Amino acid sequence: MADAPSWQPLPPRRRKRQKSDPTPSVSAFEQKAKANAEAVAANVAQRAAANARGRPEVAEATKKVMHGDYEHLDHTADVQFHAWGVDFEKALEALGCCLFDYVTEIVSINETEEGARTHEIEGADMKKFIFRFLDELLYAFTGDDIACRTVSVKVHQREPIFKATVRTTGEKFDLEKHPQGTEVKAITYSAMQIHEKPDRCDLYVIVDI
Amino acid sequence: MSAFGQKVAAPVRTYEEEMKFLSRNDATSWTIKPGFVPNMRVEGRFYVNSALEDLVFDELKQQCAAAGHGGFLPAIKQIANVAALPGIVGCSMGMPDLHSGYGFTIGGVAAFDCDDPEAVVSPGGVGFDINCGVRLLRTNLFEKDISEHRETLAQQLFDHIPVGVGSRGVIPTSASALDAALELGMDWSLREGYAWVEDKEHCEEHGRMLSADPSKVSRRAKKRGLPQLGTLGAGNHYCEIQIVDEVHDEWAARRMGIGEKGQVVVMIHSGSRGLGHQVATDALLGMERAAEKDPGLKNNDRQLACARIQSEEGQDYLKSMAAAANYAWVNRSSMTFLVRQAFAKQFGSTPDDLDMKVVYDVSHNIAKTEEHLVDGKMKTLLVHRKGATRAFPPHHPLIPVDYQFTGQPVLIGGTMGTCSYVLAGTDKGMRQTFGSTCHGAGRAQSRNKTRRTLAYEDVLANLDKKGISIRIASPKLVMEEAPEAYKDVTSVVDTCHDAGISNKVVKLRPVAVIKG
Repeated sequence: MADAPSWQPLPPRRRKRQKSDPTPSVSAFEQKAKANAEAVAANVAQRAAANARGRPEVAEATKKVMHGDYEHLDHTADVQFHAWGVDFEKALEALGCCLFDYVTEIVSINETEEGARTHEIEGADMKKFIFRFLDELLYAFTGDDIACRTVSVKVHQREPIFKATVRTTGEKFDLEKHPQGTEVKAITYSAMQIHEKPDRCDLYVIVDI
Repeated sequence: MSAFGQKVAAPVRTYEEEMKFLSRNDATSWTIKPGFVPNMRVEGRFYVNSALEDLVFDELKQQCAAAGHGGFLPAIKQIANVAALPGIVGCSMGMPDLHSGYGFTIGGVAAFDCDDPEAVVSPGGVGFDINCGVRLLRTNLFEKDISEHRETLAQQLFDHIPVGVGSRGVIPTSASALDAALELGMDWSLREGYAWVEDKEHCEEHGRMLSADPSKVSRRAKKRGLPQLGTLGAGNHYCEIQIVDEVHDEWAARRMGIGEKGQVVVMIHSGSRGLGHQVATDALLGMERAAEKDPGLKNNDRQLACARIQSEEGQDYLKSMAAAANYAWVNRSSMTFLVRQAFAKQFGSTPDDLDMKVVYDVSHNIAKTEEHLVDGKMKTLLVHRKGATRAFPPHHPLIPVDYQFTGQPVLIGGTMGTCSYVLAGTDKGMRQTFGSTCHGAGRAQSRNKTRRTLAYEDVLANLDKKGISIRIASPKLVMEEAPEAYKDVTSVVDTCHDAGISNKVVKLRPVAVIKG
């Protein structure tokens, strides 16, 4: 705790009242609050109507199966993605789908023209590259509202840095069409693992949720 | 992998060997001795009682059994790794709700000396959800007033507050408004007519960090943040209508305006949304690059990326973190506005007449510059709290006038269907834990495990039996966030109370839950 303040003289008293503008009256503030309430009420009514129509549901049966070469593994606070494929590219593609199957149900996403995207991704090493790859897809979702149905990866070079072109198909995320899954806050390097063998590649990534 | 990322080879020890480095101080705390991990500069300490300690040691057992293959670092190893960071003072601490997190443990508290040029700031010590926190609103309603309207009130709140993945805010914003909000924090909410003047008084830092610099926040982060202003989020975030269930300290509870048993209050738990997550991600990447140039920043764990407080990267992070913190306060203020609207609509009254004042607003994921006594000397410290709440004692200059005699109110959010608590800070906590205490229940089980072992219908039926209405955007979340997945919040709070780092004031019981 700070030391006790040393003694200070009081500032000189102002004898004359300043003839400045009167302080804004409380009613001005009230008016603003009222206007806000009205502006918000319209949006709330829309939400209420959408809620009343009910949220999109995916059949229980389709929920149980994974729609690609990936799975969501246990972690105390977060979740670990495990994706695999015959080579690194295929494993990455599965990893991308794994992300979108977590934030929503991937089977509910359609492929549309406006939902197609191409990303050029670089990374100094393999781990940084995977991080950048997932971060880019996450940003496409959180920044541009694009949910992906398919992801295709073409790795151009591995040395000295990783470079690849990623094409995705999908559509704008819409609460009326797509069920809400769990929000992914960020991608992490935590316990990231890459097991590359001649005939199979396995990737493990923990994401913060 | 870069040189920085390489782990200092930790000796592989058996569980019994590891336990030799741990010793019990008293019924509620343990000490971690140097040597538990390499290069520890100070001791570690964690607060658990006999009911909670098994969960902590189970993590360690699991890691020893795995003998260094896969898995994740146990929370107590993480506390020890933080104790190895440059510039740390006092000791590296874990609160009773601790569990393994990213770099720092959740429930971790660590302070670094701002005057030490070696000292560091670490985004991992704040977490991805910058200024995630809890706000409590009081009302002058009682349980009997709402018992008939419980379901409609829950629906009303669900309609007002956007929740879950991909939801957009209902409050109109623009890019320039966002910049102003990042700089001004709750002053912006006040100026735009979303908050009341007295809300600011009952908020840590008065809802605005003056060090915020919106120009240090990346374009990406702003783009993620713009549509999400005034949204609750998903995961463990929630808005709950609660009832005052037990009053442990009537005098303090009356000062806080929640002293009547049966009184209705509203708790909001949310953070800085995508903007904060992106700020943290950007900072981690930036610091990793910086660390490659500075071999002195090499440490035990790649996730503990950090930068010197006084370096450019460190300062940039602190300024952008402050901006994200301001965003979180604006976010909670916006939701406060929506809650007030929902209640006003439901009861055909005004928020003023319902007396919906903010009791307090705490941040449990943040780094703050504070003055603390260390070995009898006053020092300026950068205190990292990740999943830990500030709990300042009575008479501290930084707590509001209204709470000068009670100590700072500390809001502990429970889990869906369990109880929540209001605590008050103590002098002992100020001396022992840099004025910090727990933040919630803390997870005990993984999300997937609960999803496999619990049935959706059972969890809902259980809640219904307890008389709790629920509105939830994602059905998956019902199982993930079931009370069984968490530690017992009462044990956590009792540990803090018994250890004397904060005192129980009021216990709250939920009647309606809104979640992502």
